[in-house]
Amino acid sequence: MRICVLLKQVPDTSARLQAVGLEPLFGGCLPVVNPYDEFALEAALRLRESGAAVHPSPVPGGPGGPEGSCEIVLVTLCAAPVEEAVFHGLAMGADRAVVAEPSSGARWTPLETGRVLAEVLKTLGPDLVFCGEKAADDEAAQVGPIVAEALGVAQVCGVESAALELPGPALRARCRRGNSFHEVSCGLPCVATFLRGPALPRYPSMADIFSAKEKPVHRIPVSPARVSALRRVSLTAPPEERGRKMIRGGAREAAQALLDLIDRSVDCRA
Amino acid sequence: MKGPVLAVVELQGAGPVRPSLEALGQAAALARRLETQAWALAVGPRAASCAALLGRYGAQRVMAGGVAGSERLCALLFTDAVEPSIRELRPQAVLFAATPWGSERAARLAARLGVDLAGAITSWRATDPGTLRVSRSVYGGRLVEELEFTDRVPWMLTLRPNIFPLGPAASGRIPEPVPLEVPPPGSSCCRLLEVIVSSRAEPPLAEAAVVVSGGRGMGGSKPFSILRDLAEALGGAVGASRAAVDAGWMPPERQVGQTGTVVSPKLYVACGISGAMQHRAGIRDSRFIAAINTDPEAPIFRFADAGVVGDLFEVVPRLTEAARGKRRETLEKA
Ligand SMILES: Cc1cc2nc3c(=O)[nH]c(=O)nc-3n(C[C@H](O)[C@H](O)[C@H](O)COP(=O)(O)OP(=O)(O)OC[C@H]3O[C@@H](n4cnc5c(N)ncnc54)[C@H](O)[C@@H]3O)c2cc1C
Repeated sequence: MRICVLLKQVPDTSARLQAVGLEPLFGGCLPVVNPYDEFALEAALRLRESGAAVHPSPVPGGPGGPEGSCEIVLVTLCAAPVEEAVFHGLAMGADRAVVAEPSSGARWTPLETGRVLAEVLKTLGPDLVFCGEKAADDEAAQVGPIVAEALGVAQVCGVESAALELPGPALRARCRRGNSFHEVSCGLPCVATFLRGPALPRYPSMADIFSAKEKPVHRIPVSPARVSALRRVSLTAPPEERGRKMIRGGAREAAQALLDLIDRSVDCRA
Repeated sequence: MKGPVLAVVELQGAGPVRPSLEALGQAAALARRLETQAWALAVGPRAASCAALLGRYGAQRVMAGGVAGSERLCALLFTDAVEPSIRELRPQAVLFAATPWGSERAARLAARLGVDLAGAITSWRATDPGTLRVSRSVYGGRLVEELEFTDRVPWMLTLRPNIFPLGPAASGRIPEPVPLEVPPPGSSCCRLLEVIVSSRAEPPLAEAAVVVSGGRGMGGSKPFSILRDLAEALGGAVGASRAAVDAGWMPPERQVGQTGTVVSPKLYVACGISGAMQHRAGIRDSRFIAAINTDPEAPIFRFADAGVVGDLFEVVPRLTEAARGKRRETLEKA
């Protein structure tokens, strides 16, 4: 079985950002793996560790994974050097990585990104494609469904935890839907997008980090099918601070004063 | 004449969900701006019976249809079901609410139609009749981008819940029903086995008008009961910081922030939360932020509209009492 995990590098989620023209200024902030993609990779690793993912690939005609094993392949699209993100994913336990390198540094829209990733995925023949529900940079939450559409397979979104059902095999997933959960079963191949669930991503050990250096990283040049008509026309940093009215006094007076201020400021019932 | 502006409505139980009605209100506003009609589309066995209600919220025509089970179509089958009618309708714009249901269907439908989607927008303006500009948060709300749609239609949007006003349209005529042919749910490989309701009493975090959250300062899971009392008194939902979720005090679906739910309530109350960047990512669009923290230097105070420096175990119960008192007052007056 082969699980492809889509991975994106984003700027550190704790850094302050500014905008210069239409692009963010990252300054010295460190690139990290999109946290949602880490949830997806963790889920893939757990699926493999559960022992259920050793099935021969059911994908007809596709190369499939080697029988009796489960291969986890990272797939990323990035113009900038993506060493950190890919390397971290390999250290967490992925077997190899495929990096799609665009010819130019232009910003890609979700539609362009999803379609190119789907082309790369077609050459890999995955049984499962896992990705984060959204990325901590463009916050689009679209690439999973776009990839699923381009591959012509079902999508399972907002997954907190997943397992494999045998025989089948099928993906059994617990998906978050507001105040409820949907327990779904989805035949393979399919695309699943992940949220933060009960299982947090693992930290690689020193040994994992060293062995990651030996793992294969395959680079392929790609160019976008320029399919988008949606343009960014401005990028701004919203005001950081608010009114910060500090209320003093004992607990009872402060609580009453706070409530009065809230009542004067917003109507919570409207 | 331009194609209509179409709002795709999410049904739950007996009727449409509130964020879908907000989206429908904006569809009606955009349609007026473009001098075209506002349509609503709903799929489900009882969809047609919502027509009058959808009319009150701005729909001039309602496309509805579906047999038993079709309200639960997976995103793939849903797209298969609505694509032909939408292609035929040639809408100028298609709006969904940015709920989990709406977001994944909008993305799939946009990919099917080969058009772009602007997700979770917080404002829009039609600069001239040929273009549409929308704003949305990026980088966890650290930046806001404005995107421009031009001639390629439909413009596809999802609208962040709780941002746009909800209000019945002025002239609520009964909309003309348009039958929607929905094939009986075929054999998707994706089957819904069970729906587990985790909290019936509270609204979903993303849609709540009031969110009361607790952080590491709560010190355990039991003390969250005082936040539940406050949330109940204010008519809201309980959230948590990641530190509180990581500690196992609250389940992951209650986490607010960059890797949790993004909330946009009228009132957000942060109790024992320091205000890390990733927490702020989830609360920036709150109308009013109040913070209770023992540390006067806590960063949360800088991003709050009002703050109380104090022990949450003393302040929160008093706040609950005061809120209950006020509620009684309003009930007596009414
Ligand atoms: C990739 C990534 C993603 C993340 N995503 C999220 C996210 O989605 N959401 C999120 O919240 N965090 C997220 N974080 C974590 C974030 O960086 C912070 O660690 C976290 O928000 C801290 O939670 P806290 O404020 O509850 O805890 P702390 O920072 O420990 O703050 C506790 C506060 O409680 C106050 N306090 C203690 N006792 C009391 C008392 N009795 N009364 C009043 N106040 C008291 C203290 O003064 C302190 O300010 C993320 C981090 C990373 C790296």
